[in-house]
Amino acid sequence: MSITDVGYVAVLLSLVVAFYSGVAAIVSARRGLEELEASARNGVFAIAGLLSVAGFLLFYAFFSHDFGVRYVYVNATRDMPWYLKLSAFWGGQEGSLLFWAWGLSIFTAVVIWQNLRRNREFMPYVIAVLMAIQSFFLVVLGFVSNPFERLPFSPLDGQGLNPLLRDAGMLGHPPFLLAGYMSWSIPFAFAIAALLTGKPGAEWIRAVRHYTLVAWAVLWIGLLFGAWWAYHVLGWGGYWGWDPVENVALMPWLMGTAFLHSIIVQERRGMLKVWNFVLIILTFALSIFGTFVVRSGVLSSVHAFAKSAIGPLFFLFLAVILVFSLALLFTRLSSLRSEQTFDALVSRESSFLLNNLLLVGITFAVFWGSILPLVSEAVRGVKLTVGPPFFIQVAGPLFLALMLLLGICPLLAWRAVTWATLWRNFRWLLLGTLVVAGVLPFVGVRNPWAIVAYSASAFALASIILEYYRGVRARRRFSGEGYPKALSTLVSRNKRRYGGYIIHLGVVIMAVGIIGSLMFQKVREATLSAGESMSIGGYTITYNGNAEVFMPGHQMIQAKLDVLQGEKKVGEMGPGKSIYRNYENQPVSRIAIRSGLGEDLYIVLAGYEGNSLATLTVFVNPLVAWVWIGGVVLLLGTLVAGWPELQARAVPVRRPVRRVVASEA
Amino acid sequence: MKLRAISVFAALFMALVLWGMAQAQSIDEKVRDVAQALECPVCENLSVADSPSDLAQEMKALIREKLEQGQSKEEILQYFVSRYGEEILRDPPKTGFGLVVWWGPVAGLAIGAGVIYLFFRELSRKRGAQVQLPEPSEEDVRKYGKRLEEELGKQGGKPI
Repeated sequence: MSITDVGYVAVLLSLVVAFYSGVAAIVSARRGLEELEASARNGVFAIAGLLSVAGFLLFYAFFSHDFGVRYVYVNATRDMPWYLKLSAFWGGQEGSLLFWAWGLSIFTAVVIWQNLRRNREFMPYVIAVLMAIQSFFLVVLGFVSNPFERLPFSPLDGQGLNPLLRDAGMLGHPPFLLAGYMSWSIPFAFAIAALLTGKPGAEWIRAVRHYTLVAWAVLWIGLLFGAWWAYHVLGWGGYWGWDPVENVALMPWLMGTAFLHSIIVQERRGMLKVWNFVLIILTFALSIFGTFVVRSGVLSSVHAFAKSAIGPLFFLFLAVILVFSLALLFTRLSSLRSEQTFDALVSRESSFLLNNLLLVGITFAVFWGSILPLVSEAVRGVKLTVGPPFFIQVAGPLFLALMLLLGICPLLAWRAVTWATLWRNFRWLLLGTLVVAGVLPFVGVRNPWAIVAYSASAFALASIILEYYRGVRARRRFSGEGYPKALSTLVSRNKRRYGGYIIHLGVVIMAVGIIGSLMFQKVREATLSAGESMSIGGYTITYNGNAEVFMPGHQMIQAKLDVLQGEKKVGEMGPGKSIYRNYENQPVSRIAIRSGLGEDLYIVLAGYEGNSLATLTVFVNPLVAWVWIGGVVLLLGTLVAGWPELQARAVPVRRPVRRVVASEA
Repeated sequence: MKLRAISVFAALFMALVLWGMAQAQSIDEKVRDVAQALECPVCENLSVADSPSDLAQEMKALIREKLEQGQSKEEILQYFVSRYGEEILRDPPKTGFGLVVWWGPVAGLAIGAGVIYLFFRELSRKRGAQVQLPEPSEEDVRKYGKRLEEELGKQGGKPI
């Protein structure tokens, strides 16, 4: 027996404990047995410990080159650098699922710890739901997809990660994506607990707000890393290809965005209760769908490296989740009546509804496009695909509408707005927007859709600035503080609202980058002999032959390029191709990118012959940097919005004056 | 007055839109445009335009040749469909089953909008009629605005 078998035993023990804790939690709630609930809680902590042992043992297997473990043999080689060995953990299906379960066990333990005194009624059911989810993953890990499975012998070296995954970006993208999917379990568990306890009111919404923000932010980081990786590794000049695996990650994020908005309406007005349950159930189901698609290869795509027989199991799990939770929701409908009614068609509430419609609409369109190959294959026997143009044409206008709404919503009052007030609030914004639309063509933006999209962004931006300006002005008038002080007080006293606006600001910044890189990308392909040049968008690129670079485990062919912008030399670039041992027929592009705030010069070595012939694909991608900047601003806004309120610090009680006097007397 | 200003802007805008649409494409752009509509047959999820494979290079050369012979984008796509089948198209054709694909999301959205409308009417009806707000006078608005700003100043703005 080797040390990694301990990991497998830990997984099996976790399964037993998870089953026990889930059942114990429910029995404790039904019978009111507090000690049993404490025992269930201890089970949760034990699972976190056991799975941590399993997780560290898998890391250990990678770093000690234990190629007798099949998973290590497939995903690692001796000479891979440390960060690749680290990321090989989630390079395949078994490790990814272990990561999921491990993360869930830790997150569950944290949630239980934080709620030892809060949300008492919900907690047993929260434990039970989370343990049910955990059990599913442990069954898969234990009996279908075991990361600790041993080969009958110990090979001297492994095959190594798929070359496309040999990138530092793999340290961030998969773990955040998986953790993001996993985190949606928590709000889902609270929702089910709220339904089961017959208290589907405002309590669960309050309880999950922060967990929801965490899940949303973590999934966002995963998406952002994914886009970054695609841009730097895949070599087609873009960062989002509407690939099925990208799409399934986007869907729960969009649905979760709808949820984050619509719970505001429930908090403020006591409406949309049923809808919020539906949204969180669907968000969680989409997260499971995402995990399932990434790791089963059911929708063929460049990411689905790991393919196996876990498909039907996941499908069954998904069906159980949907049927169980929707049926439960249905039985509780009578207790979910709205406390308020809609007063007018134009109001803050209805703008939230429209926001939900658009977000869910986009999610639906993305879902539709992603499952189409399966549907068409089943219906017509032809595997039809849908590419970026479909998604851009269908989802683009919806995103545009969303952008306009983002600008309009803050100007609408709750309950009802009259047209006159609306006009008063809007006229300057509208005028500003029209001026922007009029100026754009003179600064080179001539594509009509770009003009529309940029005008909408300008409108949204102006509306956000106006909101801040109004708040700061009011604050100054009241307190006489200077502008910076007034701004910081304003934000710190209303983290949620003004953090939300920072998120919106991030969205607008990203939109500027996306529109720019989508509509104004320039591309040229040329085959050059040594000494020849090509030019594109003001750059002149001179080719000086190929060089060979040898590195551990792979060799790289690099084209040596001098880059001139106008007359000035701005640098040397060296796009290349890497060829890895064991993957000789799958060369990977090493893209050369020169980034700037205005544009990126992005060069791919498409082909080469000998030492003095190369085919280059050169892209000039305007404003891509703003996609990353906006993405980070969005994250900062989330931090502000979710920053915990400081508890009013207890003032230490001084000795009562009377006693002092008495003692002196 | 306001209306006239807006309509002038709108007219200018429309003119620009039409002008932008009329901008011609170069042959390189046309090749890329066609190549982007075709799925590389030997890759996973890459268009012919973005694929580095030899086959894609040959297909691009063929597209260029056909464009230079004066064939239209549709004719060229049709040629590739007849050779490789419908799977070669990156986007479903806008006919037959393809129509279902294209209009599916739109139908979904329409249904969603319909549901929201019904929901809205249901909730409003329960309450009786929609509120008819009287138009506030300028004086009211001014007073209310002042009070609101005071409140906002105190709390630093209301939480959403």
